Amino acid sequence: MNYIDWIVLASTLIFIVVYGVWKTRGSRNIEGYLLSDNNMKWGTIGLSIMATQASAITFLSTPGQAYTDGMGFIQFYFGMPIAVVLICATLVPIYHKLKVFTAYEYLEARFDLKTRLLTSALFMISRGLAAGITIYAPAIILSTIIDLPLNVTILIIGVLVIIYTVSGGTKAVSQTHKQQMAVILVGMVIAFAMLLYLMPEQVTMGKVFTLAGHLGKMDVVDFSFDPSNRYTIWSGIFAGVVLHASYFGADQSQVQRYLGGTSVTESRIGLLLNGLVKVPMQFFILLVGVMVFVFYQFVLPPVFFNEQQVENIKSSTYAEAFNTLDQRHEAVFLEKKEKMEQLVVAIDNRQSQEIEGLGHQVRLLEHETRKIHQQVVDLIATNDPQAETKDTDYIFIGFVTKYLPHGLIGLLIAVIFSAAMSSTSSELNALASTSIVDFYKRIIKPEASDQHYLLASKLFTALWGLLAILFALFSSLLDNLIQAVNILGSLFYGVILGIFVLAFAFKYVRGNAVFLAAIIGEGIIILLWFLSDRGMISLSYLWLNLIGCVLVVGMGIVLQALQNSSAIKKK
Amino acid sequence: MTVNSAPNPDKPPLFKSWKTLYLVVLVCHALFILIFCWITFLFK
Repeated sequence: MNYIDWIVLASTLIFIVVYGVWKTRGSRNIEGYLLSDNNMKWGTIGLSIMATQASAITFLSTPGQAYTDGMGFIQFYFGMPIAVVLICATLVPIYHKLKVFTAYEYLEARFDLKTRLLTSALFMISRGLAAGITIYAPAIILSTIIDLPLNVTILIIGVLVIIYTVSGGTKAVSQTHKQQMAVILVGMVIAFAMLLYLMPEQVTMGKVFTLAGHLGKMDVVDFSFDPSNRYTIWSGIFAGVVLHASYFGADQSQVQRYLGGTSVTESRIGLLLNGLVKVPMQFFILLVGVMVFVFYQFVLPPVFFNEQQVENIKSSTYAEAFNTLDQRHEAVFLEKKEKMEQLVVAIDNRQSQEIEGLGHQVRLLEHETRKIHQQVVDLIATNDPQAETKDTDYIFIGFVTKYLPHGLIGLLIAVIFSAAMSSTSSELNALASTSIVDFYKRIIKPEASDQHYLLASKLFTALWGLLAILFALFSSLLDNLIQAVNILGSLFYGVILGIFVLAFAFKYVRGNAVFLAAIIGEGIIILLWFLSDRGMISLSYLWLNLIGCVLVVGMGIVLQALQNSSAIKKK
Repeated sequence: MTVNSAPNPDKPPLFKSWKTLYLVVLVCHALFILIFCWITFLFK
C-alpha cells in the first residue's frame, strides 16, 4: 500500500463515520434511536439487511473458498429466499401490529416473561460473542496486509463503529449501511473487471468457466445425501430454510433492520429484495474467487498465501525444506501453465480428444500442486504448532494488493473495513436494544423517562462495543473458542426458531412447555455438536439448525399434551 | 378518489397481492437453482 491507497482508505472510512453522525444527529427519544422513528423505506431496509449479513469474512473467505473448493458454497443460501417469504408472510405483520422494539417482546405477549427472557438471553450470548469475532477475524488479516499491529487494526474498526452507532442508533446504522454497500458493490465490480482485464488475451469469460470446470471448480450443485458433506442442495434448502428463517425472523440484528419500516409493505419489500438478490450476489463473489483461481493458472501464485507465515518459515531451520517445496511448486506450475495454454488452443479448435486428454493432465498437475501446498502446511505446523495454517482468507486480498493499481487497493481494503463495520454496527445496535427493552426497561427500571432510556441505550451500545473490542483483543489467546464461535449461530438458531414456530403455528402450546422444550432442546444440540466436534458422530453443523427446530417444536407439543392430561386427571 | 378506491397500504405497489409477489420471488429463485444445475452439468 502506498500513500494513494491510504488516502482512499482513510477518506472512505472517515466519510462514512462523519456522514453517519451528521445525518442522524439529534435523536430525542427511544423510538427514534432504536426504531429510526419508523421512517425507513424499502430500499434502505433492503440495503441495511444486505449489509448486516455481508461481514468482512464474506469478502475475504468466500473468494478463497471458491479458489480451493469451487462454487459449492452457494448452496448454503438456497433456503434463504424461501425463509424470507415465510417471514414476510408470518412474523413481519405480527411485529408491526404489536409495535415491538425487539422480536422477543412478541414471545411475552404469546407465552410469558421467562420464555421472552430465555430467547433474548440466547440471542445475546450468540451475538455478543460473535460481535468480537466479527471484528477480530478480518482484523487479523487486514493487519498483515496493511502492516499495522493487530491491536491497532481492532481498535480502528471497533472505535469507528462505536462512534456512529452510539451517536445515531438504528438510523445511523441504516444510513451508513447504504454508503458501505455502495463501497462494497463498486469495489467488487471493479475487482471483477480488473480480473477480466488481467487474464491472458485468449482467456475470455466463457473460457474461464470451461477451464475452471476442467479443474472441478464449477460443481455448483451437489445432489449427494451424505450428512457429513457440508454443502449439498438438500442441506442448503432444508437446513438452510431453518437457519435463515431464524436469522431473518428471530435474530434481533436483522429484525431491527425492518422494524424501522414505515409500514408492513416497506418492511416486506425490503426483505424480499434481499431474498431475490442475495443468491446472485453470492454467486458473483464466488465467481470472483474462481476467476482468481484461473488467473493463477497463468501467473505463478505463492506456494502459501499468508506471507507472514512464509517469512517465518524462511527464517527458521526449515528454510531449506521450504525452498525445495517452493521450487517444486514452481516447476509443477510451469508444466501446468503449458498444458493450460494447449488446452485453451484445443478448446478454440474444438478438438474434443485433445481437450479430454489435456484436461486430465491438468487435473493431475493441480492435484500435485495441492499436495505440495499440504506439505508446506505441515512444515509450517511443525515449525510452529500455534501458527495459522489456513491461508484461504489471504488469497483474494493477496491478489488485490499484488496485481491491482494503487488507489484501487485502498478501495478494496475499504470494502473489507466497510463490511466489518456494517455487520458489527448492526450487532451492537441489536444487543443494546435487547439489553434495554428486554431486560433493563422490563425488569430493572420499568418506570423512567424517555431521556433516561435514550441515555441508557447509548451507554449499552458503547458497553457492547467495548466488550466486542476487548473480546477481539484477547481472541488470539482463545483459539478453540473462536472455532466454536464460528458455528455458534447454528447452536442457537434452530432452538430460537423452534420457539417462534410454536408461538405462531401451535396456538394451544403454552409458556411452561415451550420453556422446558427450549432448555432440553438446547442441551441436546450442544451435546450433538460436542459429539460431532470430537468425531464421535458425523454431522455437518448446518443440520443442527433443523434438528434444534424440530426438537423444540416436537417436545413443546408433547410436553403441552402431558401437561394437559395431568391437569385433566387432577380435575 | 373515493374512500373505496383508496390504495391499501399493505398491498404491494406493483403486484395484485402479496401471494403473487412471493410467487415471483420463489420462481426467480427456482430459476437461479436451475441455472446452477445447468452450469454444473455443462462444465463437468
